[in-house]
Amino acid sequence: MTVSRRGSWLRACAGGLVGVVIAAATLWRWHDIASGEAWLNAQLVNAVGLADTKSIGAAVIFPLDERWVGFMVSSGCSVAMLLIPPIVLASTLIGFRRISLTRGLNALAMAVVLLVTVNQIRLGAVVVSMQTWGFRLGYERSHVLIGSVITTAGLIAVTILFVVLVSRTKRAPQAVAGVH
Amino acid sequence: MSTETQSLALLNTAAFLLCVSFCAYVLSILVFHLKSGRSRGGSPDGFDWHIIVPCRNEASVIGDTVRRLLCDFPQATVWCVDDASDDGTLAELAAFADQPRVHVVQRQLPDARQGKGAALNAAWRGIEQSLPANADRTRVIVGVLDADSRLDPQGPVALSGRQYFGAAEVGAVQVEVRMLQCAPRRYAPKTQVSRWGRLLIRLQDMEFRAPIAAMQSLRRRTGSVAMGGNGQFTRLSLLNEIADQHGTPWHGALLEDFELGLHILLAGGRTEYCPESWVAQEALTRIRPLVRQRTRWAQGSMQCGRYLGKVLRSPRIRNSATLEIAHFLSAPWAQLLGTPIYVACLVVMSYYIDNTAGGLRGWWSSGGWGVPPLVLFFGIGPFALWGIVYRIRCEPHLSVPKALLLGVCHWLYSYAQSLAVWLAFGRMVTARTDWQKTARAADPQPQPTPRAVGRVTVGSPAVGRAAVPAQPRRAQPARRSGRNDGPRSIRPPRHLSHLAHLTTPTTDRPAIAHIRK
Repeated sequence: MTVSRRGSWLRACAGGLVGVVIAAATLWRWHDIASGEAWLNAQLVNAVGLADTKSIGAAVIFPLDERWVGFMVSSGCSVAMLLIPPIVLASTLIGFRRISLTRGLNALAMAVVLLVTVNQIRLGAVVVSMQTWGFRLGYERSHVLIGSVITTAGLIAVTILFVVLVSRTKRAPQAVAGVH
Repeated sequence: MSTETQSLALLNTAAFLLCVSFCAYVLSILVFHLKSGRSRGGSPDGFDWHIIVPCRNEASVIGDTVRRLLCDFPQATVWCVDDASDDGTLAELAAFADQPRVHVVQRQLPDARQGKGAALNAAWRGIEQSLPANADRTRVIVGVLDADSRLDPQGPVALSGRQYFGAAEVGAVQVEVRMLQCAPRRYAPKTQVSRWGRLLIRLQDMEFRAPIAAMQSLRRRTGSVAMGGNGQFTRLSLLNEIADQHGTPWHGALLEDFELGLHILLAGGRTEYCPESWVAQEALTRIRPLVRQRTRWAQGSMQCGRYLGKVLRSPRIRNSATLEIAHFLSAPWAQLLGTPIYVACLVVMSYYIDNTAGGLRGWWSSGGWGVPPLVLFFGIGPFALWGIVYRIRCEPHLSVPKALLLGVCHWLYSYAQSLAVWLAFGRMVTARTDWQKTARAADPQPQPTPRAVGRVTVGSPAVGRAAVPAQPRRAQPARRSGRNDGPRSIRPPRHLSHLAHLTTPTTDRPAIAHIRK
């Protein structure tokens, strides 16, 4: 293996490793991320005027039919785990010098913002459903079907956008292969 | 939060991510496929067309295939590579002894039967040596055709268009693959097939002309069109360039066609997909050979994983192509990962149903009713929609319900692929890379090798177009160990002791012969 080839592999592995470390940290601190999402959701729902929501840790609560009801942003409902693939992919591509650090960070930032937005829409839909159909029925309808449709469609769009962003580079000018 | 809950969340997220990435891919290929237009052809006269037909026990089909090629492509030279067939293939080929446009490259044991790549390399040497030294090799187009296939008579016209070989930067083109049984009536074989067999045929036709064609449409945009084993066309100059770098154009992977495409891209060439033309091949009518075929493909794809590093580091392959290739190469591994994940999800869901108060009814009324629509839309939908696409783009005579039913069957059919991936993984783990070619239903039982077929000149200077020396003129680099291609010093079995003189480890020597009566 030549020195330059070894160097490129080392760089690539370092890039991938950085991504894995950040992803592991994201997974490790998922509760903080979920708490942040709960806080953000409470603020947004309040601001829009849908309900008088508050957040306690990773839970979002609001008054409904003269009692406080709410839901918990669990590890499965948080974006924490969904952030792992774009982090690892972007860092690997930066490591292989397929994309610049700026482009990688931009793409990652876009992915994070959109993923959080999609999840906020989903959490907001849970609040709206509970207000519309009542605590139990609203949660059942929004948590499984409506929430999953919003997240799946949103994540598909984010995936495509992220891939488009990290794949947009010019090919190096070169001679036509096979033409001597 | 407990470890159990955390594990369930991880499982749930993993399944969700696999589903999302699959849906995102399907949506991408669908959009590009529906947007792809048709281009006009060009004049094939400016090119020198050579078609290689690898033959290993193809006696039942090779005669018709060569006759059809001679009739449909008066400008093409046909190179049949007999890979030590023992079913009378050589005798069938003897019928073309008076055809100057038909060459037979005879490979003998122990050098023969080293895989399709080795057979193609033998023909490539023959083509290279049959051309004058000053021939413009950028205008020489080498096609590969299976022995049971039919090529669209308009193929050369379509391939000569400005989007394909009419553009200097295009190095290789793959044409659309369809099933012979679904091709125009004059090509379709007249064998009787059961209802189940007919469904399998239709599913294979749909698979190649809808989702696979759509994948190629995306690849046209990303710049990573993959070559297939049937209906691939490459400039000879590019094959030579690859051979200069790697010894031979085709190599030892079970997906030697995909491997060639990777080499072309790594060499800076551009590959294209031509939906305006087609090659029709015989569909499999039973599930077992189908699984076997897909196992070979999956194993070949796994083998090609070794190119991922090269692709990632290559400055000649742009990012979009790199990501697409990485996606393709990781697909069998993702399927491997997906099987236990989805099975585990099913087990967990069954556990919840069982432990919910009221059982299935209780689970259903507490939100479980939301699961079937999700499975239908995001699980079955991405498969089923290809039935409609197939109807719109390829077979408008199909009714909508039939097209939808075909799509649903396509979903079930995809489980054969899941099984094949595991079988391929098993073969990878046990280091098994040997493969028998897929048997055809019409194939007769093997016969003893014919001792003499007309007058066969093997490796001797002959006259006219047959004057191809056995030893290649191109300098052959030293063979790397482990490659299937190249010389062997294997002692032949006793019943082949008359071939003992071939056991000397000299060179990979195909006996290039022109059969004369």
